[in-house]
Amino acid sequence: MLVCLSGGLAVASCRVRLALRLAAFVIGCSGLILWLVGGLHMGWSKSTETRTEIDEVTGLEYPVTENKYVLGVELFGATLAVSGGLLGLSLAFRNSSRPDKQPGAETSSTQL
Amino acid sequence: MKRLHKSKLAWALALAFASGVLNAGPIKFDFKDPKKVNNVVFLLDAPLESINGTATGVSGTVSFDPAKPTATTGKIVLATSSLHVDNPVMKDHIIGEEWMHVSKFPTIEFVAEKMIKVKTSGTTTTATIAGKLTVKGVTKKVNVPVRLTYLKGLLIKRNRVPGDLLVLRSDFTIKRSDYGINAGNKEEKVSDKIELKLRVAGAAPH
Repeated sequence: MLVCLSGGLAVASCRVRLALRLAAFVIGCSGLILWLVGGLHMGWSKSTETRTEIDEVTGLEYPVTENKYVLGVELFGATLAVSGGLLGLSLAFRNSSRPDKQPGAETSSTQL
Repeated sequence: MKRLHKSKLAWALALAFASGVLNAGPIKFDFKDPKKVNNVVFLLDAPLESINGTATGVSGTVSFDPAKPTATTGKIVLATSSLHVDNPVMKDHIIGEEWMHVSKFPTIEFVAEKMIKVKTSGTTTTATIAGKLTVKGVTKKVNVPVRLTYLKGLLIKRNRVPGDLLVLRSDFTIKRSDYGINAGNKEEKVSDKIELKLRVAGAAPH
C-alpha cells in the first residue's frame, strides 16, 4: 500500500515514485511472461523457428521454418535490467519527512 | 500370321534389349528441388549458443553410374540468398558484406571431379569426393566424405513421375579464414570452423 501526501513537492515525488514502480512491475512481468511463453529459450531472440522433418521417400532431414517470435535471454535480461533500474530510480523519490512528523500536515491517500 | 507375330515379338525384344543397353551407364540426376527438401545446414560455435543455420536453394546435376560409382562427377550449387538463421540481426550480418556478401557472391559451388576410397554395399556407396569448393569467390581443392544412396524407381513416390533418385549425404568442415569470410575477425565470438551438413536428393525421370 502506497500513501501519497497531498500538496506540494511531496505529492509529485510520491506520484513519480508510484509511476516508476508500476512501470518497473509491468516491464519486468511482461519480459518474464514472454520468456516463459517462448519456452524459457536460453539462446538469442528469434523471429522464426526452424524445426527438422524427415522426407518419407529419401529419409532426408530437412528444415521447416515458420514465423514465430521467441524472446531470448538478451532481451529478457534487458527487461529485467530496465525494471531494476526503474525500481532503483524510484528510491530516489522517497519522502524526506514522514507525514506524522510534519506539524499540521494534511493527509489524503491514494491507494494501490 | 503366326510368323508375323513372331517377327513382331522379336523386334519388340530387340528394341527392349537395345533400350536397356542404351540406358545402362551414367544417369544424370537433377538436384533442383522446388519442395525445398534439399538443404545444407551450417554450424559455427559461438558464445551463448552455436549459430545453426540452413540453406535450401540447392541446384546442380550429378552423373552417377550405379554399375560404376567411381565415375561419379557433377556440380552442386547453393544460392547464398537462401542462407537462413532464426535471429534476424544475425541473418543481416551473415548476408552482409563482411561475412557472405550475398549481393556480390550469389552462389556457393562444389564441383566433384573424382571419387576415391569407394565402397559399395547394396544401394549405398560411401566414398571421398575430390573436388573444388568455391565460396565467396575463393576456390579451393577439398576432399569431402559422401554417402550416396541410389533409389531405383522411387521418384514416382516423391514427384509422381517414373524415375530414379540419388540421395547424397555429406558432413565436412571448412575454415572461414580459407575463404575470406570475415577472416581473422571476431574469432573470439564466432569459430573459424564451419561445420557443413549436406542433405540432398537428385531426380532422374525416365
